[in-house]
Amino acid sequence: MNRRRFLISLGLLGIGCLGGVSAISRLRWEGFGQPKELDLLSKLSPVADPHFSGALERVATTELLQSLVARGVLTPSGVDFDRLALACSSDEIESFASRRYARTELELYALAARIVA
Amino acid sequence: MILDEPTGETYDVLIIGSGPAGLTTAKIYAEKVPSARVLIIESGAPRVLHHAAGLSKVVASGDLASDYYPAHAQRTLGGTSTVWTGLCTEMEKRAFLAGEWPIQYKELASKYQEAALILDLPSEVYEKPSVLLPGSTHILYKPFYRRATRFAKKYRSWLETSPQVDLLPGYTVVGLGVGGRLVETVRVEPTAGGGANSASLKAMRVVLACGGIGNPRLLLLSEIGAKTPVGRYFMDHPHMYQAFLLSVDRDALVQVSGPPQRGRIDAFQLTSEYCVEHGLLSSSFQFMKGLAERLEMLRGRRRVTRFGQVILRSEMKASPNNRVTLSNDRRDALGQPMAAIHLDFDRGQIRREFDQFSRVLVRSGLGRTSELRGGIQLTGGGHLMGTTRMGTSPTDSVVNADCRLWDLDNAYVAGSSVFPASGSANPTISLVALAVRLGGHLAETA
Ligand SMILES: Cc1cc2nc3c(=O)[nH]c(=O)nc-3n(C[C@H](O)[C@H](O)[C@H](O)COP(=O)(O)OP(=O)(O)OC[C@H]3O[C@@H](n4cnc5c(N)ncnc54)[C@H](O)[C@@H]3O)c2cc1C
Repeated sequence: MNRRRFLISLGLLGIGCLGGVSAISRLRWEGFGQPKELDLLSKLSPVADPHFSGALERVATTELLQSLVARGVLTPSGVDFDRLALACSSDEIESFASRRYARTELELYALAARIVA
Repeated sequence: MILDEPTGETYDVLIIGSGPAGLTTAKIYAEKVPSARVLIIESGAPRVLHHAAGLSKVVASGDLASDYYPAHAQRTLGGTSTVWTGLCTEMEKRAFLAGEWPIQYKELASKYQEAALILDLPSEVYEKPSVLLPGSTHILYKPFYRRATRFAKKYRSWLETSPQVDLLPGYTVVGLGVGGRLVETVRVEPTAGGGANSASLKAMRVVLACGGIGNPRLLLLSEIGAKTPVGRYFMDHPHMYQAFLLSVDRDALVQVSGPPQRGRIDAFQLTSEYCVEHGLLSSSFQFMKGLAERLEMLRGRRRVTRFGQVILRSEMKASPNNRVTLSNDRRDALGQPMAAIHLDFDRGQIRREFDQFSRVLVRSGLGRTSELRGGIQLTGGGHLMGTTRMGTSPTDSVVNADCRLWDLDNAYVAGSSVFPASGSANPTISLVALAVRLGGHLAETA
């Protein structure tokens, strides 16, 4: 399926640009119909908060991106809040800066902080 | 009428202790049976007396020290309601759903309205005790209402003027004399000492309302209920103060709480159904003073949250090892063995309750907690419960569903010592509700 292709291309791109944040801030989304640009910068701005720039430090940016896209949380039209809620409702809990988060929301905040910062 | 000394009258009902449990039982019974004669014996006087306070001394081991207990067992007219904080909320259904009580929840719930009237509480306390936070299926908003009603003040003039009720202050019950299945005599001594004035009083029925330590102690002193677990299953409410921060979506909170209300304190907990399903006890997460608001990300949206320090108040699992016995070597001023108390908290259980609440809250997107700071530091709540527990048989309980001692036909217990499981709610409104029920039962069976 196209979505799979997209994920693979995302992975390759991630490796290609060695996880460089600026390089992946604009991605080609070929998953559905017409190729689209996944403008991460604008899509993630609403959830960006520099407080989270150190979150999930050990997880590569591409990995965060893939994880969120794979679960439909990040889509060409931005953050799908219903999908995010669904993912969070059964998530493991992660701790960051002494506060507790659902894993998926923390991934989102971490990615947003890295891309938008 | 307030008596100076014992009389030879045989009363219909004799109540030992004038705290919330004793006075409520007396009031309800007397109202329902206008011809009845009631005697209330109170170890303390209308004012706190030093020698009376000394009678509550105990020898303690485990998590709470010896000096903790006397402060929570006031020997004076009105009992511990002379110092209580007055926080009230209904007990959760959890323990009833789990079959830990021998009565249906509705038997208790149906008495909360009368209990609220006695405690001068607003009607919300029984009309809307809890409500789900919008958007959550497991988290309840279950606030506390605070009215520190002082029973001595509230009922003093009734006690002085009622033609039905006599109060004998300054006398301590030191033993119950049993013949067959009946309490035949109630032995009293002046609290200030002076054994010459000791007396044996008589009544058709007797109610022990001496508090969670006083009740089992008096039974043990009287060698009553030896085949029942008198004194065992002692419970308090472990409290953890300021150990973590809690933030809750302000809009969701305001939707259920409405505008701030004087005397109402916001608190949250998992539903009873959720606790039963996940093998948890009840616990309540109560906001402390000094809340603030801030913008916070909750499930990807920037929300205004209320946040601040919390009191975690938890139920304890009833364990036979936590118990009140009699000291072998320490005696009080009246020459009676002191109560010896052992109580251990289960920190692992508190940790699990915190973790589970935190997890459900975070997953719901309605708020979050911080991590716990430091270890699990616990204190008690002064809620002395479980030591004459209610049950279905004498092997696992001390009183039956009517709060009557298994071994006796005319002796009852009032107070939180009859709770077989405590929930996490502060106990007084529930013990007053049970006293309303007991007063009604005594009237029906008069
Ligand atoms: C600081 C503090 C804060 C509290 N805050 C709250 C709260 O916010 N909410 C809540 O629900 N609960 C609270 N409590 C607990 C509350 O005070 C008790 O649940 C309540 O008072 C118990 O009522 P009772 O009638 O069973 O016992 P008590 O109030 O203890 O009354 C027992 C009475 O029996 C008398 N007595 C004992 N032995 C004898 C004897 N042998 N002969 C004659 N008389 C005897 C005593 O003198 C006393 O008057 C608090 C307690 C303390 C100490």
